[in-house]
Amino acid sequence: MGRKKSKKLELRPWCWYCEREFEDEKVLIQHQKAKHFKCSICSRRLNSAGGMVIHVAQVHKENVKYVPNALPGRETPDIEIYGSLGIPEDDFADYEQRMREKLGEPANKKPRNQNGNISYNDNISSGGGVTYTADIDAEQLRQRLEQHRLAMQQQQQQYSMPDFGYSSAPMSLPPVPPPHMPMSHPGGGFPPNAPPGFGGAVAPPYSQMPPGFVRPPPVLPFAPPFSRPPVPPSTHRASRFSSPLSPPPLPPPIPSISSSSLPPTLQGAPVPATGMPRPPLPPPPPGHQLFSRPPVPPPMASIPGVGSGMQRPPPPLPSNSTHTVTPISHQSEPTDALRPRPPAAISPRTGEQEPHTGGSSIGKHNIARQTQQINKQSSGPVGSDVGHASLTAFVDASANAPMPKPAKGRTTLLVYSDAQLSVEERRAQLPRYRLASTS
Amino acid sequence: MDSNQTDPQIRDVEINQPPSDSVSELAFNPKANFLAASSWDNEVRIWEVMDTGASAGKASYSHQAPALCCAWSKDGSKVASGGADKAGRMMDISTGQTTQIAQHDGPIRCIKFVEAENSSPIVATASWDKTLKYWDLRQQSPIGTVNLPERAYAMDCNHPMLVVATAERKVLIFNLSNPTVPFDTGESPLKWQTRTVSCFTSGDGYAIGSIEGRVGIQYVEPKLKDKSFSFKCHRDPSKGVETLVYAINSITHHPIYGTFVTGSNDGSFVSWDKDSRHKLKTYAKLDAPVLSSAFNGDGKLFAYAIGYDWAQGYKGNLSTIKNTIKLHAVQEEDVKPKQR
Repeated sequence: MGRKKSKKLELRPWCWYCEREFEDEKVLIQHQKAKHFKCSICSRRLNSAGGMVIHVAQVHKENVKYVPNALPGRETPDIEIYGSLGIPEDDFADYEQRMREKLGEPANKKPRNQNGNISYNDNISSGGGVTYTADIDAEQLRQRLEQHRLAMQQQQQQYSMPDFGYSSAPMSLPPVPPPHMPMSHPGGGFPPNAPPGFGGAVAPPYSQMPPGFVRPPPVLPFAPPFSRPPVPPSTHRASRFSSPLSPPPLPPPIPSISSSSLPPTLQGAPVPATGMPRPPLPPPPPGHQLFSRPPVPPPMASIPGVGSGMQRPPPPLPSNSTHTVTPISHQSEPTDALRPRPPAAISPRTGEQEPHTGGSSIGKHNIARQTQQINKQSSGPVGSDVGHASLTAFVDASANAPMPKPAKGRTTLLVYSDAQLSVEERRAQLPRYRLASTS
Repeated sequence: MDSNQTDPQIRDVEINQPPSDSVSELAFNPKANFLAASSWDNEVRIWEVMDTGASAGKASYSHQAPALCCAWSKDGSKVASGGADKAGRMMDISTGQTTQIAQHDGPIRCIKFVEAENSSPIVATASWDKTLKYWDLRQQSPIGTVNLPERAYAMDCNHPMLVVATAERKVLIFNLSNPTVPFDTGESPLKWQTRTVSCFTSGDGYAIGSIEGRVGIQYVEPKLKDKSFSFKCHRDPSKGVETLVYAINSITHHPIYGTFVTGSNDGSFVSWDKDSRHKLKTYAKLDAPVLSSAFNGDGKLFAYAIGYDWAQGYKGNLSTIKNTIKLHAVQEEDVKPKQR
């Protein structure tokens, strides 16, 4: 996205609920009040998700269990977000990481990475050199938006009751614990050539892959090796083909999507979702996800890398998997969309087919989100993070006043910061308070 | 900060003849509506307060240096105070007589009556000379002396528990059945200098406030210790990238509901319910730091002192800051735990 390539790498304020970026905090807060904190019944704009929930409970005697228009997995009203305050640190780091990947790569901009480069980030910058977003122009974006809107409308019609089946979802938001990861790779592999059982057997494996997505490097010690390295090679065609991961996905995205203005992926994607244990999330309003799109490609590039690299058993060799996978994807595009796609699927086409890969990746993106959600539900409450959330929620649950928490990166300034002396001691030393000077 | 803030302070009544310098501590008589305030102008003043908010100065006495603390006896008959003149003084309200009851080697920062209900008064004083002393008001010498690890900064008592917080974040807990041996010595859960402590009305723990806009809720009972937590408050994130963090100057528990009010040098006070972990009410900002606060015996009146707390040294000592004490009629819903 053109404007995203702005010189400065500092993150602009972004909305945790829909991952949209804003010029400044004010606009972001306006957006949140309009999109996420608005009472669906009387349109009153509240100050926070918690406030909205309480308002609805008190005024309309109804229970709201999710934040409207939020990305799957982010609908919990339990986390008190106000502007960019209160964003869970993990998500913040995750987002920052993704943005960094996207923005930071082109042409040695490392020095501008003020937030301190991480080692694998350096690798990317040196190895890559192409941004996924670099070649999208505004028109393509618009096209994509249109496609997406259409798809979303359809989706919305299908699931006119956005919240069904969701009751418990927001509560279990906390991220998946690392312990799940080890299991997901060996066990969660769904062989590329298992089409028949695929539809039914989808849920469990899926539920396990998202961890890599949710919080890629920071949480999982082994994630970087998997998730990062795949990225740089994928930006080069040569290395892409040398990658064992690249062949399978190549066919699907291009032929199937490129022809029609409404990519099958988008239409199709929701469908399998119904078969999944958890129905899709409240469809985001048509407009808003446009902006959540930009962040998409990088994670897709890296995360599928994680998924495919680890979930596919080693045996499926390039030649083999090309054959087996291709049919699948043609038969049922959705399943393919569900399948983690190696980075090559997206990156090599950046120049020519960007809209479509973008579109399909959104389908995947959604699904990844959904599965993420499912995963959370299936994995149940998670210890440390739940604790963290509930603790930080102390003030947050307050009806009267959302207590903004300083977001990461903010510095605090103590009004009085002397650790040695109390203010009274200092003050008592003043001449006019001294014993001798007084009567 | 909040859209649903009201401005109750407009209705708050300023006390008659407020102290000429800032207040160091406010204390309400537990039995009757008498308010005592120790002040940096050396005086300890006592007002009688009507339910209407009208007040009349009843008595005052002075230290030879700033009075740093004051407290009422459990039966409400005596007020005691400590000052930078290293002396503890007491006034008997019925007779109006003032006597010196305590002596330290350094300024007395904290004073409390620690006797059990319906027994003869005992005063505990904690000082910057790193001692805690118990006095029975009849003898010249203390009935007990405890060496503290550091200068005492804050103290509160809910019989039989006495909590003393000192510099370097030390916290000592005494069981008054064995008052000279600390029941527990530990560090504050907060990372910054302790400003204030206040015992729960339930008697099983205390709240501690630091200069870094944070309150720790600490349970003393071993089996309840897991329930301890802390939370941030009195912060102003609106100043660019920097969040201004204010000190918690006072924590005051409501005598009936057990909720508490934090007062801060950001000029606001907020009521909290620690059990449901809810903020109950944010009061509109005042134009000066809240120095100290107190509920009266039945919890229907709330007195708070505003003035300069010297947190910013000379440069913050503006002539526009007014030293005064105000009386606030407590709205029950502001202090009553919400049922959910």
